[in-house]
Amino acid sequence: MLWNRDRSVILSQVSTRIIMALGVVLAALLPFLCTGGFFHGRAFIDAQNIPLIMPAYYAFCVPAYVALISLDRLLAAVKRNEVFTAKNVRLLRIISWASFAAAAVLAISSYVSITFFALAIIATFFGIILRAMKNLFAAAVELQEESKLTI
Amino acid sequence: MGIRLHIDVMMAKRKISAGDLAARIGITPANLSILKNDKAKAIRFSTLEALCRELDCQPGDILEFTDTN
Repeated sequence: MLWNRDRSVILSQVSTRIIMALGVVLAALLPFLCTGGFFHGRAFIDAQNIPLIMPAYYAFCVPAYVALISLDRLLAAVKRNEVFTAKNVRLLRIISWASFAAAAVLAISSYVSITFFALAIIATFFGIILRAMKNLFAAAVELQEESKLTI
Repeated sequence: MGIRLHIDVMMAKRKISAGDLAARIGITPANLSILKNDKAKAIRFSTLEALCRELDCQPGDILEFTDTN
């Protein structure tokens, strides 16, 4: 089987949608996991903090889903060969800010478990990288526009 | 932008249509329209050379600098 760009984009889009679906499944199962003793002795979470996992996760879901939906739309645009466009720059900016928002939620949630603080640092790092990517895309859009208008 | 193109003026003087000029200089009518409407960000020397050749003029006849500051 030949591996090409289209298949790679489809794989990325399918992965994004699987993560979105898993997030929904986890959101539905979380009350049972919290009450069922799943978290006891796991992920550095004290027993009295287990009920706090739910609000932390649901708050985290908001920026996470904003980022995932934007990523899905970005991949759909790449699939249509619309790569360096102002719309994609906007989507990257949204994903970057969503990462920062997720990092803030995780940092606030670090009272539940120190693991969340480590995740907050990773999310911040991810947001910075995406911001740099957004700047690169914006420069590329400008260059493409200039090249298009060079007769 | 500070540089303005007066292709339409030269076209009128030489009595040449946009489609005809575009075909003669090897660009699309859409691109010629971009040049005529001052929407272009840059012009290649090859395009300028072809324009001057077909309109029988000098670059200064079709390009004008105006200080916008």
